[in-house]
Amino acid sequence: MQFLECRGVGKIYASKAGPVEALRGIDLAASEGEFVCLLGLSGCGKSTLLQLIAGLEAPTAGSIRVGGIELDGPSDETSIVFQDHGLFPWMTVERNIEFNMKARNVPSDARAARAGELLTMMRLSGFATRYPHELSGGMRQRVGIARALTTRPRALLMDEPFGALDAQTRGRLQEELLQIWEHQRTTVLFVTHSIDEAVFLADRVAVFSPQPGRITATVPVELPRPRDPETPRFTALKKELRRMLVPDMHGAALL
Amino acid sequence: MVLSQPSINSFQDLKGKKIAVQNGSIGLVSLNWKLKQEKLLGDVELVFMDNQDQPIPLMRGDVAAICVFEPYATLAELSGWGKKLWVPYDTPMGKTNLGFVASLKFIKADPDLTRKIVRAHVLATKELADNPQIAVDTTIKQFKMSKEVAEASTKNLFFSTESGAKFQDGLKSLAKMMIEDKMLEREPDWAEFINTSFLPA
Amino acid sequence: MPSRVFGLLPLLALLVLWQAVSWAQIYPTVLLPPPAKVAAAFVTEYPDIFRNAAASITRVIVGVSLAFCFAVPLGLLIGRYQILDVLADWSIQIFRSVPPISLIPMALLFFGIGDKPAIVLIFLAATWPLLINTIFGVRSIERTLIKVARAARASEQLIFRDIILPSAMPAVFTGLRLAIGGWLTVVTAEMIAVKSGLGYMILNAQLTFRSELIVAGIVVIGAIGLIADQGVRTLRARVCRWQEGLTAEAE
Repeated sequence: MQFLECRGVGKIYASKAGPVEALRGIDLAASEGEFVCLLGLSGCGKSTLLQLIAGLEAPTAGSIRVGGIELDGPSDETSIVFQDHGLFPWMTVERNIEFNMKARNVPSDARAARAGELLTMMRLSGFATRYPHELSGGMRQRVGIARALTTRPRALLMDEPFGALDAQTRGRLQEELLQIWEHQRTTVLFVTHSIDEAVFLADRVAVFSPQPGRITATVPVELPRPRDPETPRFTALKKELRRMLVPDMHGAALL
Repeated sequence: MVLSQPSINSFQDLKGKKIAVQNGSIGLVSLNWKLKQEKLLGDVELVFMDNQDQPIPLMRGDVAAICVFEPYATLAELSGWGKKLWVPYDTPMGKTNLGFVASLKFIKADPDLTRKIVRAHVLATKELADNPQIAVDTTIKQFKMSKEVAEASTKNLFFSTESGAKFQDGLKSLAKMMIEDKMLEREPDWAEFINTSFLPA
Repeated sequence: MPSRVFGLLPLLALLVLWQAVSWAQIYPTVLLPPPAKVAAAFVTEYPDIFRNAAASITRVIVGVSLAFCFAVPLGLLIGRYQILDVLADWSIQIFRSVPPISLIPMALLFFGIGDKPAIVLIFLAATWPLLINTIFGVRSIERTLIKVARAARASEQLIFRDIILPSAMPAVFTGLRLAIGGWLTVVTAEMIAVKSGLGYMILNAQLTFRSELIVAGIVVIGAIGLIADQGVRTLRARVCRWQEGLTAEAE
């Protein structure tokens, strides 16, 4: 039994134009400590799947199990990081980081201590009393990640977290994420539309295609770490993935 | 007219209580005079509000009496919210409570028309005095009042265009009362203020 | 940004125009008093004006405070739970349009005479902008923020205290500004058998043709309105400091 199991997961939304099938027949499993990327263009339902796993919505078909238990709302084992960081503008960085713990009734001194650890880990020391609007995009994402890690989740769910950042900041954060992951060995589910990012980060890539959203292939990435994007094997893998995505390209640019 | 709660039988019973009256109105002038007569001025609290709003506090008992115009007086009486305590025609101004007024500019511009309008007013008033049913019907039609209230309140009205010495004396008394109440700074020039030259012979 | 004191310029222009019209004697002075007569009224009637201003301010503070305590919590709930919004929306849209003056007979019937019905009218006038803006404030909360809270399994109580309330605060303050801006309702409210207040003073002056007191009353009402508005702005800037980096308003 894997740590995370999606079996036959489907999601249908009601809309003004009639029911919309966002996901159909998703079978996906991730073992403990595995880094899985969900790759696809916009509208393939990968974010939807992530939100289902986060327990924010319920699937209309199939089941999702986290740590062996079928989901009935958000699980204690998962934490989610959003692309638009979702930081509370009226709270300082440290209060933002402490929020997920506060929601779990962790007493304030324990919260402060753990927040301190994460401030150091995410290289945010010195910014504890600043407000989100005073930080750069990259720093805000660091805060979002720090907040997600405070509760020591066994699975970290990330919804295109670096999508809004410039290439350099993105690169830096990708490396920092890998460091944290290698250190903590959480399972990571990482949604992205960037082939480069997927090949750089993942142990395995689930390739999505749209209408309805489904997984057309799962590709293992057996490159040794740390990975070098210049190597021929890296490039070959990118080509393969691009080929899988090309039928759905619709003129969109791929990275 | 002043209407009071059933428990109030004379003006002296109003000592220490509240009376509703419209500020700046002729009712206030009459009421002040009466309170002075009864030596109650200062012992009665005057509560200022518009005529049409006064029946409600009377009904609720928030005030012991109201000093109000028709048809609100009749309305309150018929609804059983109060009884007649005093009709203010025994003050120095007597029955002088309305006047027919025109601007100097208008009179100068068209004295003939002025004469015609005054004559029409005198004739209409005479007809109403001879046939009060007209007033009742008009009240019902134009003000949408109920037949009961229209009939009862019309009984409390009188129609007159009397403009002689009695009327003028009443007017002068009214001015004096207003000055005493600080509602007027000084008496008007009566020769200028009163003009009986347009009355029909 | 230029100094706020420039805001006096239109007022000075108005004063000059007023004085000019007075000199030209277009209108009888008993109806349109010259500025000097109004200024004299301030000097001679200062204690009365002060007493009346204090009375009106007290009524408005009570009425608006009651409205705040009623409308803000209610607005937070209506904004958060759609079923409440469905229930309340039509009623709110209907009753917010009712002019306070038309409610005087009902106020007399339910609340009697004096301060009580006056405060009720002020309360009603203040409630609508506070309620509507609070609801709007809750509705405009970024959806991601609620998702973060739900994913973290925050309790309803924590969501209200730490997310909904602070997030809606700027809108609540807008509502408060509007509620206080309606302080001119105090004039209507004081038509109901009160014995003090700026509205009472103005109405009395109308009936006794003391037009210089009418103007004096208007001036004081306007000045208090301005001071109150500035007060709310300052308070909002302090409470919602975090907004500085987010909106285009340079406050």
